[in-house]
Amino acid sequence: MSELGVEHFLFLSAALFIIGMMGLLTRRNLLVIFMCVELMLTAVNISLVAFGWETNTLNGQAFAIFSISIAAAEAAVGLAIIVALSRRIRTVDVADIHELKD
Amino acid sequence: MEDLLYLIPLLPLAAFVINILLGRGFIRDNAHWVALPLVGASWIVALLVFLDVRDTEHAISQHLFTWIPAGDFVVDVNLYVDQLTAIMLLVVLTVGFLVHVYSVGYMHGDPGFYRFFAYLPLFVFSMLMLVLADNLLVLFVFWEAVGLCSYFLIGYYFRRRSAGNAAKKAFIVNRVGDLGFGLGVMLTFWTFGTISFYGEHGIFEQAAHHAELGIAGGALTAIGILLFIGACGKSAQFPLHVWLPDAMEGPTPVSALIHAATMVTAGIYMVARNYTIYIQSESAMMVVAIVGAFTAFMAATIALTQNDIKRVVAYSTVSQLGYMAFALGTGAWVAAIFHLMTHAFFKGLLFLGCGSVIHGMHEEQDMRKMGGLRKYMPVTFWTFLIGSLANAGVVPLAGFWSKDEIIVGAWISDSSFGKPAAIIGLAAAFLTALYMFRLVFLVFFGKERFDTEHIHPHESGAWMAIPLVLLAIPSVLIGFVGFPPEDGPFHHFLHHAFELVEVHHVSMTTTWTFGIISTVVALGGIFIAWLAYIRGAINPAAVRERFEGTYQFLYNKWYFDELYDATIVQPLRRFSMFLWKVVDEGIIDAAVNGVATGIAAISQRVRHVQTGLVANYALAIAIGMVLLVGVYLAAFSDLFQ
Amino acid sequence: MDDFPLLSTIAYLPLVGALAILFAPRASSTLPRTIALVASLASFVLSLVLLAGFEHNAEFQYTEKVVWLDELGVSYFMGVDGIAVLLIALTTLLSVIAIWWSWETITVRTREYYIALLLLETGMLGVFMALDLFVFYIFWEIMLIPMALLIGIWGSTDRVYAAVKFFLYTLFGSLLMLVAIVATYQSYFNETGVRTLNVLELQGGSYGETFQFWVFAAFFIAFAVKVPMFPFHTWLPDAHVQAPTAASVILAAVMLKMGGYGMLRFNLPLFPDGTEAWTVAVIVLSIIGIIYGALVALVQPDMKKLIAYSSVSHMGFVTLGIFIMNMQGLDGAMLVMLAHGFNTGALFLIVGVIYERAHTRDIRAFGGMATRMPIWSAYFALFLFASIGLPGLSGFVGEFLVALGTWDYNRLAAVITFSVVIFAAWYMLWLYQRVVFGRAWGELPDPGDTELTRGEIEELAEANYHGHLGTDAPQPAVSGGDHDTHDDHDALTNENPEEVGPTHKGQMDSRPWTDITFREHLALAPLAVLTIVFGVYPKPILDIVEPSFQAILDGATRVVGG
Repeated sequence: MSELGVEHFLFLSAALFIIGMMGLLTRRNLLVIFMCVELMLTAVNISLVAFGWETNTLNGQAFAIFSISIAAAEAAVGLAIIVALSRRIRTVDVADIHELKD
Repeated sequence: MEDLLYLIPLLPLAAFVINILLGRGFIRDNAHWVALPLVGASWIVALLVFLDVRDTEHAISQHLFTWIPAGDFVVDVNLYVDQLTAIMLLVVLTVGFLVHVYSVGYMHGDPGFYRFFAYLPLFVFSMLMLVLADNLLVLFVFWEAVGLCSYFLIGYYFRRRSAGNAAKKAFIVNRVGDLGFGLGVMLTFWTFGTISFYGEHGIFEQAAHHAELGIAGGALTAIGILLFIGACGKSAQFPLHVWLPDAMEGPTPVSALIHAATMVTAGIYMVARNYTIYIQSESAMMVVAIVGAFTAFMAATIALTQNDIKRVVAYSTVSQLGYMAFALGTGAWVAAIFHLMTHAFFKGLLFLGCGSVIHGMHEEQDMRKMGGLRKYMPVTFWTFLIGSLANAGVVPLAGFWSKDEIIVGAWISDSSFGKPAAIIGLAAAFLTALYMFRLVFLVFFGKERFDTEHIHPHESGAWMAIPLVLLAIPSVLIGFVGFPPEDGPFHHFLHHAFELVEVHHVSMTTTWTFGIISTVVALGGIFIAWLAYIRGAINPAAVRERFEGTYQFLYNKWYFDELYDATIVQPLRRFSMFLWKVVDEGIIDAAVNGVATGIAAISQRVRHVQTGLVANYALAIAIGMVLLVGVYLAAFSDLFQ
Repeated sequence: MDDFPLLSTIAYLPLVGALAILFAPRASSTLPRTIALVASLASFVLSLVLLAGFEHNAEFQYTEKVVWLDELGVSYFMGVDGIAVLLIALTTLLSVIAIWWSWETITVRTREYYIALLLLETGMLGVFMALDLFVFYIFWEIMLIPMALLIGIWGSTDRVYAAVKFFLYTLFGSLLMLVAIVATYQSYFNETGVRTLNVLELQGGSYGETFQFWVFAAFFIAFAVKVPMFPFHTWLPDAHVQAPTAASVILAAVMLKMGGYGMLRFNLPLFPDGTEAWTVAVIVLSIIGIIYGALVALVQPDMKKLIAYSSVSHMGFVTLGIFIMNMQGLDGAMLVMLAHGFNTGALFLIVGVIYERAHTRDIRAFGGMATRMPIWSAYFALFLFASIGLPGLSGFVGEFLVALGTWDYNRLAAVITFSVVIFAAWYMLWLYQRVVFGRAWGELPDPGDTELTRGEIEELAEANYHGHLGTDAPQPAVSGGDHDTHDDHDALTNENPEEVGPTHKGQMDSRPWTDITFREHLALAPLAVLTIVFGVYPKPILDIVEPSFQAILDGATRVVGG
């Protein structure tokens, strides 16, 4: 068993990112899509923390915390939009939401 | 005297400004009390100037202001009076003033009375400035200004469609001439470097010495011809004569002042003013002579067949202007100005007489519906008779002296066209006598051909009768200022204005011979008219039947209007329509709109990419990201190397 | 006092006015227009001060220079020479008149309307003042939007089409100009290592011949669209026809001058070689434009379109005069610009007057206006004759000088150019005769009119009824006082104008035809005075511009000669 290296964290991050992205592309429920976006953000955070750990500085961690707080705000706004939208058109299925098309 | 020159044009201008601004609201039917004194005062100043010039034998001038300073093209507005101008001033103001007086009676009760008495002084002002101008461009300015007055006065009865058409036609045909004039001004400037007439570097000084100065004779010829195109427009010479007969739509005093006595002679004046240029160019003189002789003859033939009283006199005017033009062209400069002056008086008289007849006949202009008016309107009859005799050139009335001098001048001139011109002139003189007395006999003699029950012809009032009498006096007597022929006071006076012209000595025999021939010709014309319309020995109707083709040709004025309409006006309108509909909307605009439609069509297809599905967009982002990173890795990193 | 930023004050007073309107209480309907009038009037008065203090030499005066983006070489640089100072005065005057004219005629969205007008004025003034290409370009674009809005919102029936067309045409030119500005900037930097957009400094650069050829073309097209020069002119008739009266006035009187001004300020001094290379093409296009515009005007049934095409013809004189490169031509071009400003501006007002009364611009619908509106007819005659170049009125001097200069360049060109005097008289007098002379439809002739007998009148009425003449067909009566131009009865949208006739013969036109009102007098009288004064005495104008033109000519001859 080799020593834990930065590449392991990066593989984890990449895997999470791809899972999130696949979910984003394939799922049709807005809430799920939203969770997938969060997953992708988490993946990015992991890689940030991993690089901070690697270089032995706090930059990565600082970025991660910043990004988490932004994500919290984004979640609040995003969920609010989803709720408002679902109230208005009674669905959370993205296929039925194409107001921007026309 | 110099300091007062500006008063001559200023006084009529003041009359115009006052009447146009205050006429509608305040002055109304008293407009003539503004115009008459001011024009009269101007006449007095002009008379003083005339006497001054006569006594001192020097030209006088006054600088007013610099109009255009554009680089080396500097135009000053100066007033300049030499002998030629002095005569023109008196002619314009004398006839002008009398026409003003006449108009008080003629226009009485017209709703546009004040308007009429604004335009008329404006015309007088413009005409005075025209003859006072000391450079070509200022002359051109007032050349157009008199055209403007003419436009408004022809269109005075604007509610008639024909009046509007005639006004428009007059202005546009004149513009054709003005095009030539304007180009002539430009060529003058680029040839001589100035457009001022006089002074050391003026165009006349340079033209007289053009050989030494290295100015090509061709340029002088070109200037002469271009300026003459302008003169053709204003003085109604072939091929631009078509507007003048139509201009008779205007009130009759206007026809007398503008379209007989003064404005139409502006072309003659302008050519005479530039005689220094013309005498340098035989070809330019030749053009003037040929056009003039042709016009004199053509217009006389048309006048024979017209039935409208004013049209007959109008064609007579065109014909007389033709006389003046060929006098200019054959080098009889003084004779041309002499005829200009006598013609101004007797033709002004004839038109005012026509106006009196029309007025007395309740706006009837057709000679076929007149007759026997002699006993109804004696003053008009006698004065009209004097005018007709003068126009026909019967001894010893004014027209005889000047017309005879033109014919003699042409005959003895060096020009190779001189003798033919003299013969054409004699032929036209015969026709003149014929058509004038056809008119006189039809209108004043014979039986009444109108409904005597309903129409009661009456003599005109004092406002109209007095100018008739006052104009009849010079029509009889003014010819004697040119007596003895070629050597009268008139010739001595004008000699200074035409210094460079060689004075031909005319033998007594020639003078007498032509005097007798002219008289015989004129009396012959009158005699034939008498045979046809009084005695009845010749039946005009039969003559007409016999020469139906010729008659129609003359009656329709040689079909000039139709010709111009078919060859210029209509094709141009069609071409314009083509430009608008095909070139502008069909090609240029269609191309512009085509680009827009093309882009819209492409966008229409491309917009299907926008499905509105978030997943598709996300996929596009992902693919794009992968591609970008892939390109980066492939091209710029050593990953795959 | 020397440091007082007079130019900026003049330029931004209208902007300040616009901001004031923005914050004015919404309820008041008179406040916006009062503010607009005061702001534009103040700007006008200051521009007169500017004119009075202007010294007659070729220097740029009243300069203001503030470093803005130092690294890029951009500075806020304003200044005027003889050319600009006159156009500034023209702009402020016409803006006052335009706002005054809109006083009662604009009834919808008045706040926005006056804001747009004032913004437009600031843009126009800035264009004439800017000596830094960056600032120039900003003002150039500022001007575009309010004008498009004025046409698109307050215009006639087809207004959106016209506004978009105007916008795209102009934007197309602007973008080419932007490219050209960047190219010039870069070229100057490459040569000297100095980053600058200062026009006066850029004039000192020497640019390659090929470079000049293309950059000249890019600048030129931008200005040619504005002029508008044949064949970039087709936006003009549409824009004029659709624009509200005041916008038409501004468009004709000021915006078209931008093109000529831009050529004088940038094309000639910056790219002498390019000028030389393009001169023949420009002159040929100008002459085509002069004749073409006049001929097309000859057959227009719409008054505004007729005047728009006559503008194409007149503005051809401007480009022609600029590019024949002699003093007569340049002087003439300047005088034509100013005279066209007064005359055509006034002619659009004249058309506006009857459009507001009759709600149509179809020439065929009018006749006999001299009886109904004599004062209007007199004004019309004055501006019309000024427009066709009657000597003594302002139009003549410029056109004559241009033709005179052209003669020196090429005789044939001068002959063709000057022949437009015939066509100009033709289309304008045709218009005048149709609208002002004659009798209105259904009106009986005067007693004693020998032209028509009773029977002929009957015939005429009959023919009119069946649409054979079509020339005197009046419009159906429109309810009076309706100034909203949005849904008016526009005869031009009708496929067969002949059918727009009376419903029964002999119907009299019962619309009230009030003659010029006091408000309209106030707008027209200054223009009338100016058109006469500058026709009789153009010397002051020439004295102001001549040093600037001499500088341009010296620059051009220096390079062409060397």
